Amino acid sequence: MSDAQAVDGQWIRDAVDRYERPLVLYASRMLHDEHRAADVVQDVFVRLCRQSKEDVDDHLQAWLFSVCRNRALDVIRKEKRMKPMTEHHLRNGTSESPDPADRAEDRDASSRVLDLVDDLPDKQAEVVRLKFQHGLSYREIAKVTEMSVSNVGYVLHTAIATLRQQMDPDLDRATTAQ
Amino acid sequence: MTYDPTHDPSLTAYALGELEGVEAHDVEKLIAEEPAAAAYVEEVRKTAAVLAGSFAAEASAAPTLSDDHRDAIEKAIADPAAAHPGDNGSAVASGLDESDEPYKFPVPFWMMKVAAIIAIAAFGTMLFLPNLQRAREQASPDVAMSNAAETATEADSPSATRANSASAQPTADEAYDFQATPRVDRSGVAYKEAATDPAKASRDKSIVLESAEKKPVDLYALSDGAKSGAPSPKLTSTRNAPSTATPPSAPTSPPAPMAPASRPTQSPVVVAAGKTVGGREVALAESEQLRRSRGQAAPEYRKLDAGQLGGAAPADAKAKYEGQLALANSVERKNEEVAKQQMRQLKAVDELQKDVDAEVDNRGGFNREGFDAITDNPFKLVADAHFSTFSIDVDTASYANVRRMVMGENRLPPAGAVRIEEMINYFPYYYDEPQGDDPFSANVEVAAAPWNTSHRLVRIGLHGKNVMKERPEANLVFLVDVSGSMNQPNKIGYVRQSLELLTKELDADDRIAIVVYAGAAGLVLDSTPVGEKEKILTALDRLRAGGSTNGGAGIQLAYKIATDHFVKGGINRVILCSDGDFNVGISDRASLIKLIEEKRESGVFLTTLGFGNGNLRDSQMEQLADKGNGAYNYIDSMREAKKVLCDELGGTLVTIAKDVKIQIDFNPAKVQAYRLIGYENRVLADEDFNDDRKDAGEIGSGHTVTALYEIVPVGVELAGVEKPGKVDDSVFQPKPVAPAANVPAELSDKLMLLKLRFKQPDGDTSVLRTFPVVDSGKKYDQATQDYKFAAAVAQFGMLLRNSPYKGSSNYDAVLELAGESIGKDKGGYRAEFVQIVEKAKALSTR
Repeated sequence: MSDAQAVDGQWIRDAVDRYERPLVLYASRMLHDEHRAADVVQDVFVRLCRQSKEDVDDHLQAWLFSVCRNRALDVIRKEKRMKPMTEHHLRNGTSESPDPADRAEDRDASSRVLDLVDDLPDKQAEVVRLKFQHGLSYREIAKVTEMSVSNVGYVLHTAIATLRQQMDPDLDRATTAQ
Repeated sequence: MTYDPTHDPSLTAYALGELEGVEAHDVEKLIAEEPAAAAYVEEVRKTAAVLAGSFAAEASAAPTLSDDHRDAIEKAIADPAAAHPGDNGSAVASGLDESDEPYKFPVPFWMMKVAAIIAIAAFGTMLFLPNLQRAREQASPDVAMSNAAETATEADSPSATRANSASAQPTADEAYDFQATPRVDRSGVAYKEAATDPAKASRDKSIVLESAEKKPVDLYALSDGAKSGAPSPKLTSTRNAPSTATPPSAPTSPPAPMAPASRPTQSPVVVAAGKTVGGREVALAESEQLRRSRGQAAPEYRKLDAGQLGGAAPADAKAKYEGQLALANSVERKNEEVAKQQMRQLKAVDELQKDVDAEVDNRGGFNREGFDAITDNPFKLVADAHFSTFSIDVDTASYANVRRMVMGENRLPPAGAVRIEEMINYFPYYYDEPQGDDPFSANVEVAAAPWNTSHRLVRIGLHGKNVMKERPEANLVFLVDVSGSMNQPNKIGYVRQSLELLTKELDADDRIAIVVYAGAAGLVLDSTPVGEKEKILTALDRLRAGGSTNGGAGIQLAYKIATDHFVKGGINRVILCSDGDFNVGISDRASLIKLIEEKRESGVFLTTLGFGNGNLRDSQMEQLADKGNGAYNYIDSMREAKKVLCDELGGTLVTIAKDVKIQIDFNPAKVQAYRLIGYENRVLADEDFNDDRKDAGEIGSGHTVTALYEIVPVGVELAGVEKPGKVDDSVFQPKPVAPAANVPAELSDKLMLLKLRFKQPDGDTSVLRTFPVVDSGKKYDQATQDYKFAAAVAQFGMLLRNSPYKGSSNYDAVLELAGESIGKDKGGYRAEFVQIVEKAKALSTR
């Protein structure tokens, strides 16, 4: 193996180490299947091998998520298992809000919050994850999801407003009463 | 009318740190006036924190790739062209269809957008009439600007600051630069086609030029302007572009894809141009390119496609490669109605300028070579270049990286990760203490080069004065990355332990503050005297990783705290702890560098500590520290943390001289050719030596800095040294005299003159010191232990890099040389080196 190849390989291995979990997580949210998600992520990195490091280096994260998203959408399209993006989940979401008694249980807090996120409409849930789980900026999210930056801002705003209410319904009453 | 914060997305954006400048200011005003807005921002932040925390827990439990997946990726690394998503068996083949590829980002964003806009300009009328007329109008100036900007970075900035260089001797790098000039002259677009296939290149050019013709005024006006700046010969700064200093035919074989001055854009651009332009000719170029790059793998795709997806795939694939259909296909594939397509194009136009700006800034302010750009400094003939100039560098990260790979990961490091000067400088050397007021001593030693005994090896060792005993008060602000990626024991865990260690080293009067960034930046601990240990330790316990990164806001906050508690004459330093994924967004990066440089002038310096083994932005961490007058250290273990933050705390924190530059003036009567070992990205232009505006490296309290020159003495056969072609003597000029004949008699016995320039830490004017060097003709076994050890490390580095100059180097020679020069070895670092060499030797024979 020549030096150049060894060098190229290393930045890809580094990218794998750094992004495999986030990408698998991201893809499995779309595919509802960890194994398929891992396949997609493998494919993403194989594709990365064909890129020159310099060309993707300054937006590697957005590149990875974007390619991952498109590959996952491909799989969904092929298998016709795409979930319709309706407001269905949002409407049902509140009825699934947890019993107040659980609230003291710190142990379950995280998973409850995650449930709330999953109950958001798909688009909102996706943007929330990209933002808070994967740390993408509005602009990166816009690039990955092919929305405008202001649309990202709006979707995220709506999602947070919803989550905020569901996490603590009292909160809203308190602020509006002021 | 009452104000309802829940209908205002800008509040959310503000709370998440996404707003800047005027927008942020507007929201701040609103918050001041509207309690409901303020309360809402608070709520959003709380919600964000809860979300980040919950996600972090989930992320750390997320599955990783299986060994099969990793094998497939390894195969792709070994042969990107042949690799295929499904080629490691059915379990992993996911029904992914190769013919869909590539989706997006086949090239950098900015390039794609340039291409997209050219597409709009050239073909928009036929495809998207009439709505895109607007985009087209917008597009023209944008393209022209981007071209001009490209040209300007190459031509203007270095030459502006180095106007006086025009008359300097034409060294090897200048000669190369001259060769680059024509590229710039050709309209500023043409340079993008560093294409390997001339026919294809000319096809592409015709398209680019065709679009250029459609907007002659803008493009030519601007490129003319750039052209007028171009004749000043220095197009590239050697400092940012070390690899261009190598003659193009240097013996290192890798096709050095990273020379920043000539943005390498071979195949990807061609593909992208074809894709985005969508015209017949270019699409053909694309298909040609794809077929070639995939080579023998193609049949395998077909087989898989057919097997997995039914018969449709081959037909698809065929259509894809056929001229105009490619475009139709891609539109259909994306399943977008035309309107959405238009929207995206318009959006692309909008964002083009931002991205191009950022890109240009990057290229000016950032060395984006990363790991892979180092080309060994070549031998230079004294007759061509009798000066050699470089900046010192006290970074040590490369050695820690190499150690991690060899010892921890059982593999030899890639050549690009081996920066020989950082390896040499990792070790303490026991040079003479400086005398008098000078901040450091210079120690020169000359002996035979161990790997080529007919060559001489000159060791230049600087030793910074140790001022830790009367160290000034310290005001430290730790800027800690607590984003999700840091959520590992060897990252956030090490950060916490490192800071604990440091609090034990510091005095009660010193101050520590801790700022974290993730989502929104926050102050975890305001500047606190180290005396209040409990408070600091409690804050450390609260450090948790999780959430997104907003480095831009974090670093501003950190600098603000440092400035608020500024200690005059003291140590004022921001210490960035990150896994290197310093996520500030593309557009912020140039302003980040600007901020760091500004603060450096005000006396707040920056040190970077890298953590973890997913360190993608190694070069960025190094650059930030470089700009901030600090060092970059890589913490791969608690032992390393102890070295950096306890044993060598003085060097880490206390700068005793800044902008330290070294220039060697070689005696042509003694030296035929020379080569600087390492320091590839620290090489300076000769005229920068006396230019006090030029930034250079810092030396800290007790630091040692070592540099090695390999010298080919006069009378020794020059092997592997490029000799320039013979040029006729001018009939108008006096006959040139052999340079050696001009050397004054009293200097004729000197090998060279070592010249040093440095500034006091708070000074603006440099001081010059000169040291004549005599070669006493020592053999290398007569040299000191420090000399031998540095030579051993250099040899090891050359072996790892497979340097063309390694001569007779081999692992056994390294072991022998290092073994006999371990000496007192405080800290046991040299003994550890021997172990690493032994391990590397074993790995190399596998």
